Amino acid sequence: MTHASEQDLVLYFYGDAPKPSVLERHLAECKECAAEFAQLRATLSAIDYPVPERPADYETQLWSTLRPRLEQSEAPKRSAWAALLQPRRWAIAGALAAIIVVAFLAGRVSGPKQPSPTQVVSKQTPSGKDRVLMVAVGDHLDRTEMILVELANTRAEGKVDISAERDFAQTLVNENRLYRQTAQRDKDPEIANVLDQVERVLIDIAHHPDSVSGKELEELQQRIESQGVLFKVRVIESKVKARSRAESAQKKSVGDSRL
Amino acid sequence: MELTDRAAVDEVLAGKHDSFRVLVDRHGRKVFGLAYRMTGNEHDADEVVQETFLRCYKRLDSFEARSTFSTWLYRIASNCALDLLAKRKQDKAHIVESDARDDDSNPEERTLDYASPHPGPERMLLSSELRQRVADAMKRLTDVERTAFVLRHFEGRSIAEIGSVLKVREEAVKNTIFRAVKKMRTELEPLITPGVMRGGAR
Repeated sequence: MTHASEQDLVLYFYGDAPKPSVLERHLAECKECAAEFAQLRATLSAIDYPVPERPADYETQLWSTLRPRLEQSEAPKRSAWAALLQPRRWAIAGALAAIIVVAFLAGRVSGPKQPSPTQVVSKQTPSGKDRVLMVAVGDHLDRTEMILVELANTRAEGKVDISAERDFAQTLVNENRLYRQTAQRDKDPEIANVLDQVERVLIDIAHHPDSVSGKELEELQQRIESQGVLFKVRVIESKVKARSRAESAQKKSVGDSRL
Repeated sequence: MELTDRAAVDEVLAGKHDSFRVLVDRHGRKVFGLAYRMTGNEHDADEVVQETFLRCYKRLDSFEARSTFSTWLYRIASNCALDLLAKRKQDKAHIVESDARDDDSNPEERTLDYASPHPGPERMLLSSELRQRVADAMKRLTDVERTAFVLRHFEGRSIAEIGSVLKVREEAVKNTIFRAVKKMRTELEPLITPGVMRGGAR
């Protein structure tokens, strides 16, 4: 073989060489490389950076300073965020949302055989299923807003861990897709458009690694900001919520009038 | 029987919060060692240890079977150390800006305060000059180079693990370690010849 490169020798020293036996054979034959490796090994072996001894009761001290701080922070799994971000719970929430949407779509396809009292009284107001969907979309937008606000307010410096937001976005992407498709089928272009934009932003977030550099985060923040997604989410969210409120009020008054 | 890391995590998540102590007792010193080598001083290392366990506790529910607890904890610790180094750099930059007239030292030189490691019996082999040179050379590495070098050279972490800490591919980790080694060699080689350690300066 030709002479070993410095990088080959460094990899070999740390046991990371892809073909150590080939290099070993070469080092046995080539005096030049052997000398170079001897020098490298001597230097690297001499590099020590001793850690100062910790006292015998280090662990006790550490725990006594740590414990009050842990108590101040919310206990894992009990905190609202932790519960929200927990993948298993999300799987259940996602499944529930899917069931709601499927039930809603099934209802649309089969269609009510008999007009319900609500529809008789007010043909203009959407059915109860619509209301359920509006509430679900409202909740979804709530969570989306939370993650966008969280990201927008994260200081872009050094390495920023966005793994929690990233995982959260991944879950929201699937949910969002369902709602967007429903809104499109439902001929609700206003909601469908916003959900379409939201989806692109969520996919963008979901494709990021666990942590990003300050610059990458800044770029992501700028992309979110330039599209005005957060604003649009807020507007549509308040409309959706107003609609679901109006519908439940309508239903209530219908119910009252029937008493 | 001693609680395994995973069992301790499960207990904490089930509401038995004091079981977290098992993890602190078992890993505290190792995290301190890593933090000390990355930050270069005890004060910052202590801060990194606290922050690491705090972050770990808060995110305990996101710990999954993907890795061992210690690998996961090392990842958090390395990121906490990187965050602190970035913060220190920013703090120093502000100080340098505000009293530039009073201070003519190079801000880069002041970004890391690498203390000379305390002498101990096992360190008598190293000349004090060499120790100081190692500290100086470590100071000249970039944060990422230092992280990769500390994790490979001192902590014996695998290339793949380091890749997961730095969020880069294995090839990039190898290149980073190589760059770090090259810089360390440039600083230290004049003091060292194979088999013999020269006491004098270059």
